[in-house]
Amino acid sequence: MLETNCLLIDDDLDDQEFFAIGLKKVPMPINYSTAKNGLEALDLLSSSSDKPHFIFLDLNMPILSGKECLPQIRQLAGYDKVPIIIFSTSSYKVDIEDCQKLGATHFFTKVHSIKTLTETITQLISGEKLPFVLNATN
Amino acid sequence: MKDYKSTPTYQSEYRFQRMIEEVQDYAIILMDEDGTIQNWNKGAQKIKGYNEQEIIGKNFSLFYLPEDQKEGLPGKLINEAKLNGRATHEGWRVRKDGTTFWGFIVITALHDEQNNVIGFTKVTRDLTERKLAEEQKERDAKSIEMQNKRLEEFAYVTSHDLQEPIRKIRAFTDLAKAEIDDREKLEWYLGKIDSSAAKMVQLIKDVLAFSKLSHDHTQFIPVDLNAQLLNVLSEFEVLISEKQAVLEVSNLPVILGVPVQIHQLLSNLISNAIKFNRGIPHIYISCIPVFEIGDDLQQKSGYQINFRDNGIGFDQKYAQKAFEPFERLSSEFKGTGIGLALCKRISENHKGSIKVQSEPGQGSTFSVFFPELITE
Repeated sequence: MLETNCLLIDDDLDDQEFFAIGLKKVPMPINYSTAKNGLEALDLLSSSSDKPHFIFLDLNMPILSGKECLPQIRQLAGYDKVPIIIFSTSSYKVDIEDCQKLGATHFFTKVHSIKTLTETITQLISGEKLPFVLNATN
Repeated sequence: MKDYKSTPTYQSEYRFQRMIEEVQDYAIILMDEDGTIQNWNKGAQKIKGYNEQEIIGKNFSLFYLPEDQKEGLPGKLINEAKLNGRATHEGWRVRKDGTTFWGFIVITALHDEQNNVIGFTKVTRDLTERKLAEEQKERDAKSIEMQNKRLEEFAYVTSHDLQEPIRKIRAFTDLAKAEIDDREKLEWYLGKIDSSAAKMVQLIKDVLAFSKLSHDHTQFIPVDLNAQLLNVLSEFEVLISEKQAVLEVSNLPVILGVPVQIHQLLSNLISNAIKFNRGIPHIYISCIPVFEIGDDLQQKSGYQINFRDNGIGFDQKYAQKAFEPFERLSSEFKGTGIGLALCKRISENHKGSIKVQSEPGQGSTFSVFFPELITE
């Protein structure tokens, strides 16, 4: 089975680790990489040949925020259709609407349950049809 | 034969004339068809400052601002009164001494039997106080609106940032539960829970300090910055010796301030200068007297206190962002993102300002401006 490339763009080391733990429990082979801010992510995406299949993007980051980063990723060659999942503490309507307009594929409010994280990522990778907001009632 | 002065007609006319002359709250004047002033009452003298001898024979356009005269406003009003019988207007007018008042005026045309305009009466009321009160009310409303907006933004980011450590505590608890028998992992998770809780406490403290600033009406007193700085440095003794930080401080002035706030300001700047440094921090604190041109174009004299460091620095394009609440320019060095916002608020509370010059790898210089201490 082919490996799925997942990139998490998040400055928070705890969240990076938490995400890794959640990914390990997904019953499919995954290749996980991280970038600690938007600038690093853009560098990585424009140089790397291993194109991620899913990009998870935090909103609240120093230097280049998620909302600033999102349209820039979409403009990179070959990235207009790659699923970008906003992965943030926020569950605010304005943030959700903004991100949808900016070209996000899904909005995923960070959860405290590893099980939910694992299940959601599994659903995403298996190609299930999911609503824009992945966990509307949190 | 009876004296004319004792006839009822004369008595009545006399009293009517006196009535107009004695009215103090309204300037009531009579003008000919060109707007030349023909008589004057007490109210006119009180409101406009001229006495009768000075003003009779002059044109009423004299009461108008130069720009209104240029625009031909007095003539327009006269024409309007000629055409419609009356004209009203509200606006700034000029007194004899050059000061202005907000006048409400009514010009009424006077006609002869054949309906020809033979002159005008002009009644002016000084509504300056009402005008100023209205303007103040408008400013207050705007200020409340702005404060509400700021509060809303603040509540938004605060609740967002306060949720983060809570979510982490719950996440690590979730992980700990799943691996309750693995003592090593459990300890690691507990450590994470503890540090998230500590971060939460720090955030709450910072948010409180920040929100207190906006409605703090503490008395301003002369504050010796040298003494305040020594005080702050003694609190950082451990950190300074740990990082072997070197400080050079020149003589600082006495300013008018709120000691607790000045302490917070110095403490935040010093702690940043020590914290955001990968090597041995060198911090130079100096003071230069300056003249600053404020937003209102008023020149203010005062002191600029410079805090120069050799720390990690940042791109100058983030200089503005650095002072916004909850903005962090680095994820390598953790903070709550409130420190510099607090410094900005404190500087503004002291009618001063704060700015920064920085370059990645070259360190930063924070400059705080304090207005000169004026002793009354």
